[in-house]
Amino acid sequence: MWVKDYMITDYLTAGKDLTILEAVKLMVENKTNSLVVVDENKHPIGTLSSYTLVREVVPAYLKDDPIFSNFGAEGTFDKYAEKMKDHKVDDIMHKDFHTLSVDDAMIEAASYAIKASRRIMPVVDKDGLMVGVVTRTCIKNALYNTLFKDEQIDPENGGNNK
Amino acid sequence: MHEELVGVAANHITSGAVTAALLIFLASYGAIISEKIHRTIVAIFGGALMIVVGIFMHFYSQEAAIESIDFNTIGLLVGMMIIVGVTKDTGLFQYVAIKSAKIAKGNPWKILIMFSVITALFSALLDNVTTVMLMVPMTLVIADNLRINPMPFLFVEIFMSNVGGTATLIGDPPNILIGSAAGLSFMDFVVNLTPVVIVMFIVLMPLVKFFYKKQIETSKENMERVMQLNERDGIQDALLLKKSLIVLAIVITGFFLHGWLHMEGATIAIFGAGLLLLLDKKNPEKALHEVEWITIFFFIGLFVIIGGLEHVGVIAWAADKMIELTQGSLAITAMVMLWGGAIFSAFVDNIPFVATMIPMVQEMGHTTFTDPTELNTIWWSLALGACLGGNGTLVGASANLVVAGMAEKSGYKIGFVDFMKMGLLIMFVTVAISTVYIYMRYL
Repeated sequence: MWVKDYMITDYLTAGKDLTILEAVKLMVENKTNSLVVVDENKHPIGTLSSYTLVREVVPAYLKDDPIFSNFGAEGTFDKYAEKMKDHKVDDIMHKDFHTLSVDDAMIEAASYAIKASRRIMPVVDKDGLMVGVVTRTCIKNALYNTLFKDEQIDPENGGNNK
Repeated sequence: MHEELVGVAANHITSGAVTAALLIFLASYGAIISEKIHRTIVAIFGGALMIVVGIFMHFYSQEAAIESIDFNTIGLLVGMMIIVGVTKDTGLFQYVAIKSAKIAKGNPWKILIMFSVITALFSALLDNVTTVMLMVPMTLVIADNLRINPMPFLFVEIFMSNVGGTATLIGDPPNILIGSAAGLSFMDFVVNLTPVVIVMFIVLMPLVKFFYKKQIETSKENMERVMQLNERDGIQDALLLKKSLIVLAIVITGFFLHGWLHMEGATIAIFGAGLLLLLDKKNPEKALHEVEWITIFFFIGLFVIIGGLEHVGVIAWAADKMIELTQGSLAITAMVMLWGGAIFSAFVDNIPFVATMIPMVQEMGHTTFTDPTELNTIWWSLALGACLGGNGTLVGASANLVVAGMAEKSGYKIGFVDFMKMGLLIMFVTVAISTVYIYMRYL
């Protein structure tokens, strides 16, 4: 199984100066859980996922140990959402993402996908230009096709995740 | 005759060796104070450098360095860290905090009193950093429920952790160091330091009330929200919680009796840690991961550096100089330790300070204050000064920085100057109380 067979080419990108507020809107409107942050030359410089956004809402004192949130007050979620909404994507995106190339095997995508917080991996061609992304949905589709050989799905449309 | 002996004994120590050892010590101290490089890196490298240079210049060796490490302090710290690391995930502390907030009927001022007592008590029996790491999230959660500014709580918890930590042998690292080096027992600390700490607590509460009570008023409706919380919601593992309580009870009883049992603190703490791990029977990896190895290695490196300094005779020389300055007066020496220790500890880490002072005080015990009760007066003065000085500024104690760090990441920035205004006042009041206490009881 190859990355090139399961990557999706219709993906969402954003600039690093986007605010969290704008990123949430963009992701909800596009019905996607992740996007790739790119520079002016469309080179990937970071990734963002719904996990990243949720992580920003949870204040530091609850991140270390969620046990304290058992006593959390109503309104705390709203309060911290309000506090973080103007932060820039640049400050919260994952900069240590993994880049795949079209010739990589699926096991590489799978192995990196299970490392915490990496919901999306950009895929580049031989010249380093971004040609697609692999999300966990793509990997799930690959898993389906390898287990159900008789009823293959089209990886490009199989998932509900762009 | 006597001088000749000294001359022979110190013959192999050249002035070059003294200079080298002193340079390594001062450079390490400077690097630790500057905070440009992590203090643990400084301690590990400085310690290793002291040994290497010591071997070349014939004043130190690996064997001597290992002898300089106070393994009783290390064992006590590691043992307590394991016990606390296991216990804190059970929900015990959250239970206590919520329960106390409900006993206070959700009234913010009464909660502040309750949290002050809990912080002081936990800091006396556990380490301060762990205590505040448990108290800060609890405080922020309660403050959110009460819709009040948590800042007064955070300040008071810092003050109470440093005051409470002063009370016992295991409360604060300087006390562990002093108790271990001077052979003072847990009971000695309880008899000599706990009473004055209780006085400080009683004196500080009206002061806190004057400054903060108005800032934390809230509505009946918000108080009701706290009353709706269920303290049992935080309990993660009721069985482990019971086991932890049993072990904590054994360990604390052990500390009270350790002088009488002829057991060092480390024996009790490691025994408790081993027992809890045995009762828990889980893979110990997580429990051992909770041990702050960064702090442990800082201590080890520091012991090795100061050991080198001791071997070239600088510590003995400095002790003599200090006695010369105080003219051998017990009262003056005690006051220098108390006030000097407090002022110094307010601005720099009190651990290297106390670790350096300990061999100096021991030296004074050989030369000037040969009566143990006199020497103990010096020890108590040093302990009170070094621990209480921690309240002076935000960098005075690790617990202060931990609170500030957690608060800032959660959107509440504690300003250095804002803290210092109140911190120096608290430090002054508590050290003044200590002064009166030392005069009345020991001088």
